[in-house]
Formats: sequence, structure tokens, C-alpha cells
Amino acid sequence: MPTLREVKNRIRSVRNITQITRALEAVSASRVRRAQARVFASRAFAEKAWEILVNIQAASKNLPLHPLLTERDAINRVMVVVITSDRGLAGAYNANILRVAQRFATRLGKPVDYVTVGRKGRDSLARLNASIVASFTDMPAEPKIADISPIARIAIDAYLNGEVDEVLIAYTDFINMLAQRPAVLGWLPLTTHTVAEQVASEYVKDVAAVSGGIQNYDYEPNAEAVVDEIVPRFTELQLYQALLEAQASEHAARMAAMKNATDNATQLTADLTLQYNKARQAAITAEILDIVGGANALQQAIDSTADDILNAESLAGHFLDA
Amino acid sequence: MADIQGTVTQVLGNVVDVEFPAGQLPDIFDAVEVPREDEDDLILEVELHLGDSAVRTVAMDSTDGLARGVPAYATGQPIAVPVGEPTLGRIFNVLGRPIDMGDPVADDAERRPIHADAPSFEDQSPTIEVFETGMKVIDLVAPMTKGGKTGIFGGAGVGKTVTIQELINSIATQHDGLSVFAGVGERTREGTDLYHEMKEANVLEKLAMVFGQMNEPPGVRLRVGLSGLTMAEYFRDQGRDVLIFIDNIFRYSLAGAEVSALLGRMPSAVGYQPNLGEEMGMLQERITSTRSGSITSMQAVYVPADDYSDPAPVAVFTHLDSTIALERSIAARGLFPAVDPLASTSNILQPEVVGDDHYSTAREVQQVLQRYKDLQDIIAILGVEELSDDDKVLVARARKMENFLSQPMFVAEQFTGQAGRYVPIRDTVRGFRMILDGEVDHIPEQDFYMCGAIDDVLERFASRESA
Repeated sequence: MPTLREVKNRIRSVRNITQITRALEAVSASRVRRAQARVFASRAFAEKAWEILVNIQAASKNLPLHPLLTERDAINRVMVVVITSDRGLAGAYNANILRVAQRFATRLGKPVDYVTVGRKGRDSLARLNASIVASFTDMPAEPKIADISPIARIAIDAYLNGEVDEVLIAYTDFINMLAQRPAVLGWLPLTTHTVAEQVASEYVKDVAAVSGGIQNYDYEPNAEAVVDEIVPRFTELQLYQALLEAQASEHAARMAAMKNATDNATQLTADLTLQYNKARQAAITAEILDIVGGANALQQAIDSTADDILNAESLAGHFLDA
Repeated sequence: MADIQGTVTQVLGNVVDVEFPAGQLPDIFDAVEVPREDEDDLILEVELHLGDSAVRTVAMDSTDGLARGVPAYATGQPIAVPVGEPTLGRIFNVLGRPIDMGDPVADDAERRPIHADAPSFEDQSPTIEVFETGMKVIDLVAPMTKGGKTGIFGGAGVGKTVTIQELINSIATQHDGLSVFAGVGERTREGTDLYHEMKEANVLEKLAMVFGQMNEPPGVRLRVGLSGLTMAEYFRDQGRDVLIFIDNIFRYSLAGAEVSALLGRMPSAVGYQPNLGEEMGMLQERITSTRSGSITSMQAVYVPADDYSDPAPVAVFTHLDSTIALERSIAARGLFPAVDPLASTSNILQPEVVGDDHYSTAREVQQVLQRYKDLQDIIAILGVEELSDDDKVLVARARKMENFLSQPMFVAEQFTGQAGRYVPIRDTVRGFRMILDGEVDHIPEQDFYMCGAIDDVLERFASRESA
């Protein structure tokens, strides 16, 4: 049985943890709302942009309009941009996305270069001796396109130089407050993927259904100029959207994890408090028993001595009478 | 025997007062005989002198039918039990009377009084030699010493008796020396089981058994340990190596408390007798190896309410060379033997005795398990995902170790349906070293549950993989 002090110390440490988890839960709850608003705000635009890209590509099937739209026949090396969080205490959020990214890479069976966004991903992959070509940390809470430009630049350069033949984004897709799904999104070249083509299709994000709108665009001033202008932008936009989704997911995951943690800690505190009270009561009972037992024994001894004295007196009286 | 005649003057349960002629009181601990019709004599043991002409005694049998005025005879010596060859293969009660329905012990057989002094300082010989038990967890973290004392601590129903029987099974049956089993205040059935098991294993003629079980009066339970010990001491003094098993030493303390209350002594902490420490010391100090021979003892110690700070188990702790602590939470998870590797210790777990490899492996195992224990609150609150990658690996290994510490036992075969496994120390150390070094990280933890050496684990894994 642990001593009272041990139990008390444990209760105190659990309470301290509870304070932290409760605070984090509250912080995440307010952040997730804003992050969610940002995701939804830009999601429609990102999807539309995607649709346009897909349509442009479909319209120009035979003539390569832009290198970023051109699929390569042989894929020798792949780059994966892994979006994780900088900080922990988000439940399985980071572990899930890293596991998915790694399993995807393993199934692909090609050499993989990683670009990591977030400290957790960097540390984890570094531990595994994965090839990390670049890492970015401390993404602002409200990211701008400018914040992700360097990341996109590295990926696009590597792709255009032919260092890699495909670039994917591993991030966590925000579905709602309760569900986030780790996903791998084919990014460069910007092409539609049919599910069967994918190595690990279960993790690949379904591309938003492309509406069967007008596929023949009129370009002004000409197709080349327009494509050169929008393709890099839309490319960045995909990454930007992934980052927003990941951030919203992170906060949602943290909120859920912290809520669980707070509940667990509260339960643990209750259990420990019960244990503490039991131990305290047992100690009190033992002490009372000792005192009562001792007092009784003492009383008995006094009584018997008193009896002896009385007997002796009556005996003496008896002799005196005689 | 020039017996002095006295008279029973008071019968108070198991406490009997006897009056003797003034100035002819028997000594403390002397036996007093009360003849009974159609039965063996009732033996009383003198505990207190009441004035010049009366003694207070404790009965070594039921006092039913005893009346005031009945004559009692002081024998002039303590209770004496037969020792030596005639005791082997036999079962005795506290008085040294056979209770196995066999022939009575010959009158000319050597007898020794059950009260004796502990060996003196110069007679004692500290031997340092590891005693292999074949049980992984004991051999690893709490190795036993030849000629040393081991205590098996545990609350009710965590497997003390099964563990001690497994030790008897693996040691007494393999060991070529003599053994003495003292059953103190435990179930009578267990004594019967032991008798039949030993008979089956053909080691009965090397074993003497003394029983004073739960149904017997406190005087019996207080002295039966001494009776068994006296038999063991005799063999030791003959220069033999003896094993003594005592199940359960706590009942000795408990009987002492009962007797103490009956004698009217003032109770001490938690209601125990005021001379708890002295009484335990009288017994324990005699369980000692001398220059002539050795006594290796294994004692089961009941821990009331799982409270290791209770005075009775505490009184035993200090006398032991190695401590095997059984833990309810481990037993509750189905891990048997339910030994707590963090609470169990041994004096000889030192690199000079067990070797560097064994020592460092045992300590590292304890470190990993301790770290796992420390992390348990975090895991309970935040979940295993929040741990750093290093800690995740550590937790996985710690869980494998916990499973690997379990082992099927020979005496528990009818419960587990698995044959027992005897694992040599070398294999034990090798197995844990492999887990520590991460050589078996790929094997799921359930494959480590209830198996023998690490080869069993590898085999189990391989057969499942190929299936």
C-alpha cells in the first residue's frame, strides 16, 4: 500500500497535468474555430482552381502546355512534403501522418526525398535517417501565400530540374471537428489521378469532382501567357490549402486529445483521492485501535492491582478482627 | 523422568494455569504433561511464572474436557522432537508424534528440545553461492543464496504457496540434500498435496514434514516452526546441506499474538504482541548456516491487506538475504509467478557474485520497468502517442519484459494446461539481454507471455509467421 505522502504527491502531479491539458483544450478550441473558417473560406477557391487546371490539362492532351502539367513516363525519385505540427500534445495527429507517409513511401518502392513542415515531422524522420532536403518550422497561425512560397519553390525547382519526377503532399485532411484523415495528395505534376494508379490508394485524397463545365477556354492574350501565370500560382495554392487543412486538423486533434486527457486525469484524480482517503482512514483506525487496546490493557492492570489491594486489606482486617 | 506433580487450577481456552509445590516450579518453556484417558498426554508449555507456586502454560492441543484439579506433571525439559534418520519420509505434529498413520518413532531415537540457542558468531559461515531455481524472475532479480534465507511475500491469493511449491518441486526434487517442510497455520489440504507430490517424485525419503495447520490451537502454530527447524538443525550439525521450507511464517507471528493476548500481555502496534521482534528473532536467528553444514530456507510470508508496512512482515524482512515480493496487480493481469521485479531484491545481486552480465542485465531490466512505471501516469492521461520515440520503444520493451517474466509452473499445470519450464540462469540472462538490445523488437508482446527461455518466444513467433 503506498504511503499517504506518495499518494498525495501523485494527486498533486496529476492535478498539475490537468491544468495544462485543460488550458490547452481551451486554447485549441478557440484556434480550431478560426482555422476551420480559413479552411472553408479557401477550400472553394482551391477546388475551383484545381478544376481549371484539370480542365486546361484535359483540353491540351497532346501538346504539353506547361512542364508542371506534364506527366513523366519514368518515375525514378519522389519528393514528399510532410506537414506536421511543431508541438506535441495532439494525440495521434503527428504519429498518424508520419505513419501514412512512411507506409506510402515504402509501398512506392522508390527513393524518397522529404521536405518537412513542422518540428515533429523533422525530428521523427531525422531519427529514421530519412533523406530530408529541407525543413520548415514555426509556420504562422495565419499563413499567407508568402509563407509557403519557399516550400513550393524548393519542390517546383526540384521537379523542374528533374531531381524528382513526382511530388506529393502528406498532410491531414480536415473533415470535421471530430474526424481528420491523414492523406497523401499527388501534387506535381498537376494531374488527375485515377484511384487505380495510386500505390496506396486508401490514403490518397480524392480530388474534388470536376464539374463537366466548358473545357475549351478562350485565352487572352494567349494560352501560354495565361498558363505560365496561373499554373505556378495554383500550384502554390494546393500547398497552401493543404497547410490550412493540416493546421485546422492539428487544433481539432489537440482539442480532442486534451479533452480525453483532462477526462482521464480527472478520473485518475478521483481514483487516487479515494485511495488516499482509504489509506488515511486505515491509519486513523489503526491508531484508535492501538490507543483503545492500550487503554483497556492499562485499565485491566489497574483493576487487578486494586483488587489485590482490596483483598489484602480485607485479609488484614480479618486478621485484626481475630 | 522425575516428574513433579502439580494440579490444574484454571483453564482459559488454550491457557492453562497449573499449581506446583512451592519452590518447585518448572522452568519457562518446559513441558508439562497432563495424562488423558484414551488419548495421548496433553502437553502444556510453561510461559509465565505466577508467583511462587503457579505457572501459566499454553496447551499444545485442544483443552476440551480438561478440568480443574486434574494432575499435571512437569517433565523438567522442553518439548523434544525426534531428529535424524527416523524423521525422513515421515509427517509429524508439533510434538514430534507421527501423524502419517505409520509406526511410532522408536523410543531410543534421538530427540532434541525445540528451544535452543542460535549458533554463535564464530560458528556462522557466510557462504556466497547462487542457488539456481529455474524461475526466470527469481533468478534474474532476486537470486537465492545457498545457505541463505529467502522470503516470499504476498497478500492473500497472489500465489505464495504455489510459488513455494514450485521451488520445492524444482529444488527439492533436483537437490540431492535433505529437506524439511514446516507447515505453519496453512491449509491441511496443501500438506496432503505436498506429501503425494513428493511421493510421486520419489523424494519422500529425503524429506521430513511437520504440520501445525489452521485448525490447531495457537500454541501449536507458535511452536511448529521450531519443531521443523530443530530437525533441520540436527542434519546441519551432522554436516549436511539442508533445505527448510516454511509456509507460512506470518502465522507464527499471528499465533504469537493470539498467545500473547491469552496470556494478558498488553498489545503493541496494530494489536501485535509486544515482543514481536524478539519472537521472530528467536526463530530466524537459528535458521543459519554454520561451518559444519548449511540451511537454505524459503519462507512464505503473508502480507495482511497487501500492506508491506504491517509490523509482522516488517519483522521478517530484516532477517532475509533475498526478498521475493508478489504483487496483486501483477497477479490480476494473469502474469504468474506474480513477482514484482522492482520490489524484489537479493543481497547477492552484485557483479562480484553473479557476474557482470547478469548484474547489468538485471539492473537494466529494473531501470526499464521503473521508467515504464513512471510513464504510466502520462500514458493513462495523454495516451501512448504523446511519448517521445525513445520512450515508445522503451514502453514496448518493458511490456515484453513483463510478459517474459511470467512462466508456466510445474505445480500449476492443471490450471494453465501448460507444462512447467525450468530455465537455467544463463538462458534467462540471455533472453532479457536480447529484449534490452532490441533484438526481438519485431516480435509482438503476446508471444512473450507464459514461456520458458527466449528460444520458446522465437519458436512461437516463427510458427505463427509460417502459419
